[in-house]
Amino acid sequence: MSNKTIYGLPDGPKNLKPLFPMVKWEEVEDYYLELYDDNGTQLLTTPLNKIGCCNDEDKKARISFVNTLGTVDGISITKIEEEFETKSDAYEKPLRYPLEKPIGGNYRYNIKANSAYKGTTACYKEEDMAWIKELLHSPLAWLQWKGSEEQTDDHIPIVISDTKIIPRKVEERYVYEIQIEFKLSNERSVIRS
Amino acid sequence: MPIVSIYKQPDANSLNAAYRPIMLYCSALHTLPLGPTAFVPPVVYCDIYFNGVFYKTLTKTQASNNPDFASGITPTYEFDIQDAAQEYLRAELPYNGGYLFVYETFKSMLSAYCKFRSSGYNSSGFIVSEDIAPVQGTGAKPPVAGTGKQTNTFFILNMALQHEHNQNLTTHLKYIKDKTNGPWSTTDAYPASHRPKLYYVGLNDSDYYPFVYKGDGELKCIKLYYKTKDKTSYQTDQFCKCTGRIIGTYKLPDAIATKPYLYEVTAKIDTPLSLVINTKPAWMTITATATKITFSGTPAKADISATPVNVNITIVNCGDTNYISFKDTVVVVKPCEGSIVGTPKLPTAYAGKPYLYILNLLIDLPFSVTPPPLPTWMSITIGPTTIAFSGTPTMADISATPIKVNLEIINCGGANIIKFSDSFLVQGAPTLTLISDVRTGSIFFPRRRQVFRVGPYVYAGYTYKLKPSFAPGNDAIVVAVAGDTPITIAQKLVNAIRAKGYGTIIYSLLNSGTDITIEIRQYIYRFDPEVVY
Repeated sequence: MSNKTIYGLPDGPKNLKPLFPMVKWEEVEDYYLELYDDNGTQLLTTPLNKIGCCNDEDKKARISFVNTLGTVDGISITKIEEEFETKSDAYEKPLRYPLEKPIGGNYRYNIKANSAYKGTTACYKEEDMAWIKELLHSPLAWLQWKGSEEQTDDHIPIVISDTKIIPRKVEERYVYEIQIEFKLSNERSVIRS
Repeated sequence: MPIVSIYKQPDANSLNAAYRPIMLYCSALHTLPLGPTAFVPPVVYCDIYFNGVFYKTLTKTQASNNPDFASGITPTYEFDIQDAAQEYLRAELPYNGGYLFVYETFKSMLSAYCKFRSSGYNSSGFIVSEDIAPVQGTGAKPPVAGTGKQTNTFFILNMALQHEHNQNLTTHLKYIKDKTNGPWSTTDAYPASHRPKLYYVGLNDSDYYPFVYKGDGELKCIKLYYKTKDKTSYQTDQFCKCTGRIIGTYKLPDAIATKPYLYEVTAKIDTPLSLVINTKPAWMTITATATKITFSGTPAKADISATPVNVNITIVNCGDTNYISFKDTVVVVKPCEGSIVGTPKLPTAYAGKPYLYILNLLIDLPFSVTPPPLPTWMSITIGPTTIAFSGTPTMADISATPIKVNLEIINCGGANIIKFSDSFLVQGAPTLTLISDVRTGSIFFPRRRQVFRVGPYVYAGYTYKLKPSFAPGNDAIVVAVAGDTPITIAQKLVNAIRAKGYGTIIYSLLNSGTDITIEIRQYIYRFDPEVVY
């Protein structure tokens, strides 16, 4: 008997490819799933998943975030812009005499360096804005990260920045382009000496 | 008194959001209501259990109402366990990428209940808890459950409800089903995401659709409906996980020595499967099929033991990737037995003579007897290990037809039936039959030696000054019956002679034997009756 708890049904093409290897996913336009128990009883039907809203890996990012129902949702954003920012404090130390060529008097310490990202999504409509709000006030979020250096694909924690959006416009209510800003949860590691 | 009542609580098996009040209400009394105020417990405890394990205790020292002993208003207490649930619950991030079948969370949903305990004061004035307080787990030692009045068991989920949502989580989740692309089970599954009805994913995106499951079945098959760019209709594909489970709960019943044992557990197991027996009693045979696991065998009396024997098996299927465990214990008990001691035969009853016959039983208690039809004069008395037939037939009960007695003695809840069938006659009393009458000379003249037969016995004796009317049939007092000992009958003779009017003459019984010779001798100078054996 399966435990009575919350489950995640594999729903993304990346998760479904191993389960349905005969499906030509490159040609799939949309799909949905049904789940059955061992008595043959249908338990659920997913929303209609549409493949699109940017499939170009170089131009998109996928954010996983904790929604208000305590589970993890995902949203793809495009038009990614990265901004790298550093902050530090300065200190001055006395110089030797005679002066040595590589030794300076002014240095920086307490260096903070991190990347901040901006991206947008214009896939969702006005009736979906309640869900977008969940993304924007989510306490926990991750960036889906493609594994490198022999590491498997994983998640990188991010912090979604405070923002202000207009979930209900006066005009042009058929399109909502939402900008999402976030920075990496872990700053760059800097050595001290 | 302990906790009086739990008067408000979440419904059993209901879904509750952790980020809103989860209220439990009880009323409680002091153990010793000594006075108008002393009936209020100093402390009321709410021991919270998550997934069946003690988590923490909340306490209240102040009632939420104004209790009044005289008016019968008991103190009431309110507990909100949302903080404890929020501490425990976590959002869980599924894998990025392929994962076999569904992703299961372990700390996003829990089953909860609370055990309420009241308290009072001991003789030293210290506060003492009623029931048994649970013990917090420390280090490698797990928590130990306590006792108390238990609430319903309900589910708490790591969820928050917005103001506009229906504050009943189940109702709210039910409405999210409308945002999906097809039907849902009414009560077994609920969405756990507000994601849009049209949801966008990239070709290389990892995504899991979260849902709440509270059904009893095994999650089995994912059916994919997909439409390619050049088609207008959906194609389908299906992935089914190899599964196996035991349906329902199980408990091996006690085995009875010498009796065949059979216990079957319903199962639903994908084949091929293999059975691995880790531990079992030697007498037990275990088999497993796709639909049931069977435990059988016949334990011997040598297997009887109060110590439970472990039965531990594992069924492996799905190419050795799925394991179904069965762990229980079985006890072999003594068989329930019962029998009649010896080979009893109901004796003949005689009119006017009290009848008593006892069947001795060697039987496991309790037992019952189906009372047979008996003559009105006879009653049946059932003792712990005996069945007694008693009564006194009259001359009217004498019959040439045997009285049948058919008994059914039942014990072990009907598993053991002992049948007893016999019959007996009711006859008149054996008469005193004169066999010979010889006068001889002796110290007293005439001395008469008489030989009598009473039933199977022959008695001889010397009588003196017997009236001529003393003869068989004239003496209604001497009634000897089967079962009388010779000495008893001899005494009856003496009594009979005395009753015939020879009261002034003292007769004594001097001798007796199997076929006794009774010498009834007259003592002229003594007036006390005397029987000499």
